[in-house]
Amino acid sequence: MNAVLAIAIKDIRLLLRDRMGFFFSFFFPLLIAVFFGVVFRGGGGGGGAGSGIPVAVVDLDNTAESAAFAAKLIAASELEVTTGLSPTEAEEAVRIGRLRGSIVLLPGFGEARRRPFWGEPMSIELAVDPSRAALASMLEGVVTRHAFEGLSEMFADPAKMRGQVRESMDQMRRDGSLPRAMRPAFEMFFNALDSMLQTVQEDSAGEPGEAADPAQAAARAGGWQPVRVSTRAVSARPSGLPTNSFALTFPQGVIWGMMGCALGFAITLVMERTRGTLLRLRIAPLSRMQILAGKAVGCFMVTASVAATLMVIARVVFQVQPTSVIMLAAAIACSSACFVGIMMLLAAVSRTEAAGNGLGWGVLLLMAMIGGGMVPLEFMPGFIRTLSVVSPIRWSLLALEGGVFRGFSMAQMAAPCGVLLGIGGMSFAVGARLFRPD
Amino acid sequence: MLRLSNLHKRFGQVVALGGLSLHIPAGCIFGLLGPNGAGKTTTISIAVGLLAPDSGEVDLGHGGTPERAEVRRRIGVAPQAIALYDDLTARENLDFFARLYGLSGPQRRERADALLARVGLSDRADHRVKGFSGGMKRRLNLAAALLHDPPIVLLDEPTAGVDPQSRNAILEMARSLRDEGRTVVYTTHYMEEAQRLCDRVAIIDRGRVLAEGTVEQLVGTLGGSSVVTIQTDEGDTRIETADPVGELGRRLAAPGVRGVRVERPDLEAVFLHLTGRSLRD
Ligand SMILES: Nc1ncnc2c1ncn2[C@@H]1O[C@H](COP(=O)(O)OP(=O)(O)O)[C@@H](O)[C@H]1O
Ligand SMILES: [Mg+2]
Repeated sequence: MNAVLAIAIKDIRLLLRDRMGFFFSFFFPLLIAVFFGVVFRGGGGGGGAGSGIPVAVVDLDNTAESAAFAAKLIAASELEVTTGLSPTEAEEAVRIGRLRGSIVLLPGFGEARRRPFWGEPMSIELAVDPSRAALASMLEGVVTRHAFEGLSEMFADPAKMRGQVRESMDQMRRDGSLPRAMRPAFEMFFNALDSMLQTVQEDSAGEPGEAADPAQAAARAGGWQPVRVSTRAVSARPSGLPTNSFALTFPQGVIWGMMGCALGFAITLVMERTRGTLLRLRIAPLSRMQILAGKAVGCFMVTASVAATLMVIARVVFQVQPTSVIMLAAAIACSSACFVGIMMLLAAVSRTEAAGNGLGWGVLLLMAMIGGGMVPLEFMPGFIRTLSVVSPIRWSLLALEGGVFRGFSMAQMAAPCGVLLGIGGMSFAVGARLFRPD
Repeated sequence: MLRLSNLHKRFGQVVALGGLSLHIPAGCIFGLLGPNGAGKTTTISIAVGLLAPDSGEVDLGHGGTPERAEVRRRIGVAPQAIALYDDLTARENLDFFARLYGLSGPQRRERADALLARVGLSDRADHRVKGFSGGMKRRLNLAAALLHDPPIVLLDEPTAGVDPQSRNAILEMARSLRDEGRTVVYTTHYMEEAQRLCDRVAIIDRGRVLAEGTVEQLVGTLGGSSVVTIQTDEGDTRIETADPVGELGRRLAAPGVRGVRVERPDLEAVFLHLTGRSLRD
């Protein structure tokens, strides 16, 4: 045990003396966390460079009509739209402040759009962060306006519109649930609408903007509701973290730090071999397992310390309050263990320092790319989100965020931590087997 | 005591050792003399358990094989390729290696100080190895083999690439290790070193032991004739003889002798005799 610790301490000392290694495993990650934290400060923590409100549009209806409406929202200059998320994913993104709102087009949207004057209205569910009331009502306004804008377009084609009016009128007549007293009013409204459309049609120069007004006026007068936007508050985190962009960027910085540490350690192990010092370790009265354990312990201590130090800086300097320090510690421990395994595997397959560096950065950057280490997964296309399950970075990030702002319970933390320990253990076992001392 | 029996080792097509056997008695400096590629390093590596032989056996005394950690505790090795951490100081290097052998803090400090003094690096103890000269690194490489006070010390070309001063210090060190009662195995391709230093020498070529014995024995039986050169006014006369002393006695009686030179055969001559090649090619 003494020898294992001796190896660990020696390696930590060597790493601290290697300026490049120290830079990549500590300063660079800190720089990333601070830089992006500042860039996204107040902006809700990320997303595209556009100036729109970052929202998700989730189409649960999957009809041509709903797709067309989604496209309209995507094109809207007020919004910065992410698509392809599930409703829960979108809501979680709002909860953690990566997005400002989630616009869900509920099933039946297309059906309702085809006969706008009767039956269930087009239903849109809006999930927003209630702590930003102004923003929420603004979003609601934007969505409603686009819905009505869509309707007004129909007035541009009066012939089609008259068909829709007649269809709606037929349905109204067959509908038993409508109070008797209201029927004449609707009959009147539909007839008026029909004759107005006839005029427009004959004029053959309908002004869509004007035509929309009678519809809205009628809505106010007779309770006609072609669009129903129901707004739901998403319970934001108690810490109010969505306002602190550093809560989002520091876990990412930690990931970079861990990658730097794992790689630095893999290189020290490769160097032991190329510089011949491994020979002395092997001659000493140690088992092969003790030598590798020394490397593993050193790597774990450095990785975990870098992660912890970064989070302490986040807490002290940038007021990032983890929802649970214990969960965060568990996340750091499991992530570090995972990176120890990756370190071992990298060292085993790298014959030279240059090969180790090249291969290491290549593999780690790829894993970071598909695992949300560079761009949050919410902003990635769907197939990358699917692919990301193979990246330990995804799980590490999830666990870290679980401790920092996702407010994970023990059970929620168990999944990513289990995956991390699994990947770590497996990589270590394979790496230890493959490692050739000469 | 160290016994190597019928060691075979191939690296692909290359036969590094082809049935090498050695018996190294305790308490002497035993030289392995041979040209580059003869198999010296391979022999050392197998002896200390860094390499597994294809066949053959190693006995490090009392039937101990180097696979066993407690047997390895009895040996100290200064590898041919310097094995030190460049970014640690001399003292930190020694302290680390001493820890691997489980020495306590005070023991480590005491051993490191004593060895640094012994190899003449006390004043550079707290400098990083990175800035050391070749000779200084060699001396530290040697010191690192001795921290745990091993009874058997293997030095693989300990003077490769060093200045004459360091070389003398290293040779002196090897002698004092022997004088302390240790068994020293010393590999070299420098004939003069083996001749000056070693109590016994094994001449190795192409993975085999060609001859083994004291320098006297080897030169006496395999070195061939001495050459006596008599310088007179008429010129030099060169005489090959197995009995240079008797020859000199007879020749010096003749008038007109202004000088004599006696060239006794050396290990180089032994090697030439055994292989038909020179050691330094
Ligand atoms: N790891 C290795 N791989 C391939 N060939 C090797 C290896 N080590 C030694 N050899 C070969 O084995 C022979 C003996 O080498 P070595 O024991 O290093 O000789 P010496 O130390 O006497 O110079 C040489 O021909 C060398 O090229
Ligand atoms: Mg050699």
